[in-house]
Amino acid sequence: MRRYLFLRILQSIVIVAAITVTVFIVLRLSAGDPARLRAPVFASPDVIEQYRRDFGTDQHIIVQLTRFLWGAVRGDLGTSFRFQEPVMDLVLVALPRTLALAGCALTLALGVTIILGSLAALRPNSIWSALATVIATIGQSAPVFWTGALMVLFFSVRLDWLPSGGFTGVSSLALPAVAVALSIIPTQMRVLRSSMSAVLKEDYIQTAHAFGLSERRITFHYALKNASLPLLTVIGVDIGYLLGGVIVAEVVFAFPGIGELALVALNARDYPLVQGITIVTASIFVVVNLLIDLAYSRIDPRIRMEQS
Amino acid sequence: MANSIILEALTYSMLTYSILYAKLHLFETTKPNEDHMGHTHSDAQGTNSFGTSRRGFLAGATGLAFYSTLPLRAAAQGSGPTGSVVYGNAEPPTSNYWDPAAGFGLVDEQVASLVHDSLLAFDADGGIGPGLATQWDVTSDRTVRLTLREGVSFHDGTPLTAQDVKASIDRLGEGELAQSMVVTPGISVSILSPTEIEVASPEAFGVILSSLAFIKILPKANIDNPDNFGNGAMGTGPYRFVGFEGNDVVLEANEQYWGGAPNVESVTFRYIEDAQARINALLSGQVDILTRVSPEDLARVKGNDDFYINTDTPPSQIVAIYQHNGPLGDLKVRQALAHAIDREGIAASIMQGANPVGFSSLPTTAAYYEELEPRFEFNLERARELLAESSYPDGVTLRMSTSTLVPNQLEIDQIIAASLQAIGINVEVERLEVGAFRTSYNTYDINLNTLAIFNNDPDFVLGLYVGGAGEAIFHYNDPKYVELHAAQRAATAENRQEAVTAAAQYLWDNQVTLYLSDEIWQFIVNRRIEGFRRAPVLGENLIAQAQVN
Repeated sequence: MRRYLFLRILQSIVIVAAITVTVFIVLRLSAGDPARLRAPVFASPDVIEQYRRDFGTDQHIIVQLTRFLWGAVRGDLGTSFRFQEPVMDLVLVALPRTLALAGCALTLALGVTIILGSLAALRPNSIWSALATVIATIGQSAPVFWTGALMVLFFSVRLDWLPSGGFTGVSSLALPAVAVALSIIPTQMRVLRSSMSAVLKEDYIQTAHAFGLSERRITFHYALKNASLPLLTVIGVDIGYLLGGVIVAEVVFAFPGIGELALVALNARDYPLVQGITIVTASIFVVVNLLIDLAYSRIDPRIRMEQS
Repeated sequence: MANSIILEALTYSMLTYSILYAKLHLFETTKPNEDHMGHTHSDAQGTNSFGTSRRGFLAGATGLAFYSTLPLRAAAQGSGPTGSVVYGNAEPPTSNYWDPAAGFGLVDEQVASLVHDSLLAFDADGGIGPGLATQWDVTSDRTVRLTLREGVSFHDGTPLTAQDVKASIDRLGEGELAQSMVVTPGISVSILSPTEIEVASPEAFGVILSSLAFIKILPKANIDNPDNFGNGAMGTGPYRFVGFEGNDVVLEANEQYWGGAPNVESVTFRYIEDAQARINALLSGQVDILTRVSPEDLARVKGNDDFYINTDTPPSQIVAIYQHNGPLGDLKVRQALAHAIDREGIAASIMQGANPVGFSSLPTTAAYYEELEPRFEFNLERARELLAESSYPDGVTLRMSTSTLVPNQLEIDQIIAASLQAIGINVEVERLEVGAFRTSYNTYDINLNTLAIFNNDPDFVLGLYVGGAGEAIFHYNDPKYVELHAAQRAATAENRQEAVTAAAQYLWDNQVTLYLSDEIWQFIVNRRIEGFRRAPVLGENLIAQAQVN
């Protein structure tokens, strides 16, 4: 187990390092000069040259890479070209907001998935099953930018109940969280529903019935535990999506999170900021997936056995 | 199984219905049979401000000696600052480094115009009045003497001294900063007494006053130690800098302002990247003023009585930038292009009539603008003749890059490419992402861009065609024009009109670039902001006088 953990952590570090170097190189291959973008269109060549020196982009790419990696190892992600602030400070302002949004969306999605998904598996012809199908179909077919815009138009502009965007407090989380949750519910729901229907046919469920346990207890305690294993994998993937992929939702709701920051950074060719965001989100993604793998073995003793 | 298929089908049709519903009802904010557009325009007093703008400017510039202690930015005497105004911008500040001389960003200029003062100041008509100087005297074509206002302090309580003024102007004369281009190289300040200074330019500088109305006065302590610019903006202006966090730059009223406390207590400049999110924020009341809006945004508030439109614009133009190191170095080709493109048609259709079409190389809203001859009217026959007389009688291929920098750029570029095709010029269009476009624009023969005048004087745009800027933007260097540019810069108020026109005429005759139209900056303002006006500059220095209800 310890050896497994060690190997997995090592693997994670290699993955993050590979992503970092790839992003570093791809950014510099893409068209666009940060110095020219920082300066006005009509800036004289001297001013642009001055920005290049300030940014260090006048150096050879190998020199830049070495400097960056040496800094990153010591926890210094550099200074943003765009904001002239340490990358770490910028990320630490935006990240908690995205985490809050992702947390709310995930909680909401899981709540809906577990209740509706289980009920739908339990009673395939009930109103719950129908509701599950409707929500999954909407979530699957309507893109976030559309449901988001529609929700803003209705709840903010029309009814004036919730803020249309920005981050002014808990109420700012409501609309984006619902929109994002709606987009991740379908996969979760389908996975849980099918694994739940399979589990409910297992012998031990019959046995539980024979023991006279209540249906609720059987479904949400004994069956859910086993049925949720595939769901865990989906959640791992969803967290990755939530960290990087809520860009669309953040733009539609003008939500100042990590996605919007990444977009500004990309538009300005703010290399250090893009790199910093990539490292931080990639690390979180890798760590979360590591934790999920470990959680497997907690939930399912069979995996623990295979590993040891 | 069959049940769930029917259910999915039903859900899809529900979705389709709700799309239709949204299109029909939610996006439509206009009440039928009502049109308040005319009404809103007259309220904003913006439509007819351009004429007065030029006159006001001339009156200010011709006053050789002028005495007044009444500040232009003085607020009406009231019960102190109240309320807050939130601006919705399509761009964030250029950096979190608050040296106003380091760039020309829109938001940087908005913040700087409120946090800092200049020696002189612009009013809503573009006229020049007192600022940190109470009195000024143009003593020769290269010197001005000014009397500094007494008892002014920076927001940290440090008193303003002549040393601060000297440091702020001298650094621009040294030429290393982006805003150095608004002054003559080597310009400097001599301190005659603690309240008397002389600004001297090594060469004739007739437009020195409008430059002095643009240059922000900073604490010498920050100039000596530029790291301080990273801690926020520090000035003597009507608003103090509170912070830049997330997408908001927040300012608050400086109640000790020498011109009287501002009416509005707090001003926020908020960056909202998505156009839909921006207009929604305005409609839901999260944002009070949308800056530089598109025709689409205007359509969304058309007939909505809660908003009015302000068109107090800095002189600004949309141009198709030519590179003179390629086929467009040929005069006849450029003139052919001018006849081949239906500028008025583009302005009327794609720009929905918002932007006037000029007959000069200057924006029509610029001071000293005059309609010039010839008019280079839309005439494909004439265009073909000129092309036949050029060095490319059999046609030529031009490389064009396009993006989404200029409003409706893709549509306009399509029309330009099709028009040129009609006279036998082949256009290879390359679509680029904005960042790549801005970086590489001068490696293509032709592409759209906007040029704005920052200090309300045409010297600014006329200066883009000489020296390093001319080389960088257009690959253009014409000794004859360099002379004309220098002459208008040196001209005094009496002969300035003539000198500016001569320079503008030269650019126009030679069609150095394609002058497509003006770009009128339209702002949508929530009616709860009363008396919103702008000076014809980039900043928002008149917001202190507005009233929030």
